Parts: sequence; C-alpha cells; structure tokens
Amino acid sequence: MRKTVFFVIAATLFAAVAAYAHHSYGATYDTSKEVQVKGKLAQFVFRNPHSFVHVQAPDEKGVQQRWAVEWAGTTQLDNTGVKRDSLRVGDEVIIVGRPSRVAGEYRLLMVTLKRPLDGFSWGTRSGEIVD
Amino acid sequence: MKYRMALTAVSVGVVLVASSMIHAGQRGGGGRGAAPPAKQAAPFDLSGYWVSVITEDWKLRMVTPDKGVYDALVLNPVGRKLADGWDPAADEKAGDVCKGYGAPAIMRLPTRLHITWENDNVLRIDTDTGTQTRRFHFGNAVPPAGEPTLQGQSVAQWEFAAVRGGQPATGNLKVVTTNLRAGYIRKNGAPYSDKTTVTEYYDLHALPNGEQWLSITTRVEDPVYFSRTMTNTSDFRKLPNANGWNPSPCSAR
Repeated sequence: MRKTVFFVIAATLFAAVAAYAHHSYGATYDTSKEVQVKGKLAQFVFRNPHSFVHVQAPDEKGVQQRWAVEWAGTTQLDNTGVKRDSLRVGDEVIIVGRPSRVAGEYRLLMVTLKRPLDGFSWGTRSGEIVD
Repeated sequence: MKYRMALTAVSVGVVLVASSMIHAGQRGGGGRGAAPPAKQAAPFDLSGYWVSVITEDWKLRMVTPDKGVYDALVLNPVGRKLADGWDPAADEKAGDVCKGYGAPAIMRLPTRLHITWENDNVLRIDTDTGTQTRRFHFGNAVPPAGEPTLQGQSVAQWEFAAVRGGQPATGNLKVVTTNLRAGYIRKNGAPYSDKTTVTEYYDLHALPNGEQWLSITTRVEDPVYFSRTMTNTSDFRKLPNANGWNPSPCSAR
C-alpha cells in the first residue's frame, strides 16, 4: 500500500499567478493552496469543456477517496502532448492541485500531473496551466 | 418540434465512462483468417437517430456568431484575415452556401444524425441540418479519391480494447477524413483549407437507465489557416425513432 503523501501548502504566493484566461476558478477552488495526492488513476475523461481525471488516493487521514481533478479542455491538452489515450486506468500518478473551497469535497483543479513509471508529466512547461 | 437539448454538463459527464481507456487491438483470434465485414465486427451499433446535445459553446453553435468572433478557434493570422473578409452575400450569389457544413464542422452544429449501414463496409451518416451525407469506408471499401468535396473521403476502422476472457468486445470507431474542399470551421467565415485532415473517435456510452450517448472526439489539423490542432468533443443522445427529423437546407448566414 502506498503511503499517503498529502500536504497543504498554505501560501499566498500562488494566488497571484492564477492568471486564468476565462474561467473563475477562484469560486470553486482555493487558488491560494495546493494539495498533493498520490494514487491510482480510476478514470480519464478527455472532453470539453474541461477534461477530468479521477484518482483513487488517500486523504489526509489515510482514508481512500476518489478525487475528481479538473483539467484543461481538449484543444489545450492535445497541444501540450496529452491525447485521449495518454493515461490509462491503473496508472500510478502524483497530482498537485488546488483544493475545493468546500470542506469534505475531494476535488482539485489540476496544477501538475506526474506518472513516475515513464516520466510523463504535465504542468511544468510553458502553456501547461488550466485555461 | 425540434428537440435541441441543452442539458447540463453534469449529465454528460456522468455518461462519459473512461472512453479514452480504449486502445487499438485485435478482436480475439489473434487476427487469423479473413476479417469480418465492418458491420459484423462492430463492437456496438451506431445505427439509428441521434440528436446533438449542446452543453457548451452554445452561443457559438446554436446561432451564427458575428463576423470576428473566433473564440475557441485556433486561427493563425492568415486564417483570421480571411475570416475578417467573410461575405455571406457573396457565398449566396455563388450558390456556395454549404461551406459551414463540411466534415470538420458538421458535428458541432445543432443537428440530428441518421446513421445507417449502406453496405457491410460503408457506414452512412445523414444530417438533417444542411442535409449532408457522410460515408465512412472500412477496409478495402475505400473508393479512389476524386475531386475534393465538403465531406471529403473518410477511412474508418474499429479500434478494440483488450478483451478479457468472457467479456464482450468493446472499442471505438476511428475515422480519418481527407480530400476536403475548403470551407468554414464556423459559419461566420472562419476558414479551413483543402489541406485539412479530420480525425474522429466515436465512443458509445450506455447509461443504467437505458439511454445511449455518443461522444465524438474531433481533431482538426489545418496547416494553412490554423496555428495548432483544434480538438473538440461533441455529444449526441440516441432517439427511439425519427420523430423530429427535419431536413433543412444549408444557410450561409
């Protein structure tokens, strides 16, 4: 069993860089915080207006939860190297995202995704920010 | 009355179940022997009537946006300049009013689809909006390319997910369309060129309540007027019959 890696970086420095193009993510997500979850990919929905990944991963208490992680739309993902078959159920992934403003909601806004097995990653290069 | 649904994105999200987990493969048997006709090999039945469900970009799809509205498009400066010169009256005068109904664009329009097998290896899609016909050719059924057309030449194949013992085959339909006549990716004159390639993936989703939904992932690549690949998903809900089927001609406006 993989050990929980869960931490919250309560920092305001991220808030300033939330330069989203047209969606008010701040209403849904706390854009001043980041949460990391590490677990197995349960579902990848490559679609408009936004894609989603669902990850089975433990929360801060070590309880397994299904996290819904909101990602970018298909044009943006496609042009940053993410295709409809880039991720598969069962992939071990590490995701950093902005947490929901609602306590107890296991949802995130994607910041970075990494798949250690092959080094696949998203969120660290230019243009890789949820638009 | 036409039933152009504007359901919530939430309802669509429920329907979309891991469509992208499917990867190409052979359906049992290791590919030995002659391949069955596409109609017989199909992992699901697409035939019937479908209605588009417009849950996003409503103002860009349900009506023709004004000239200069290029939101969600990927036009490069050349494409944008051409789009800025859009003149629907000139298209009407030339009798060329279907430029916004070509293969790269038709599935984003509000329309119903009537899908049938024209023969064992040709899947046919008729739209009531613009009364267009697309033909997806499987295997050796691909005819020689002639003059470019609005719907181009579409080569289709089933892609099958890996099959586990006792499980029914699952998969998706992949269609690549080329030999296109230039047209509009949006009816307000935003262009695509005759060098465009359209790659589509058709995924079927069955809900517990018996509804069937079709999700089409469309990649449009145009080296002439686009700055990058444009990728969209469009959703359709299956209908029990032809009620509401309402063929309507193309409109340049």
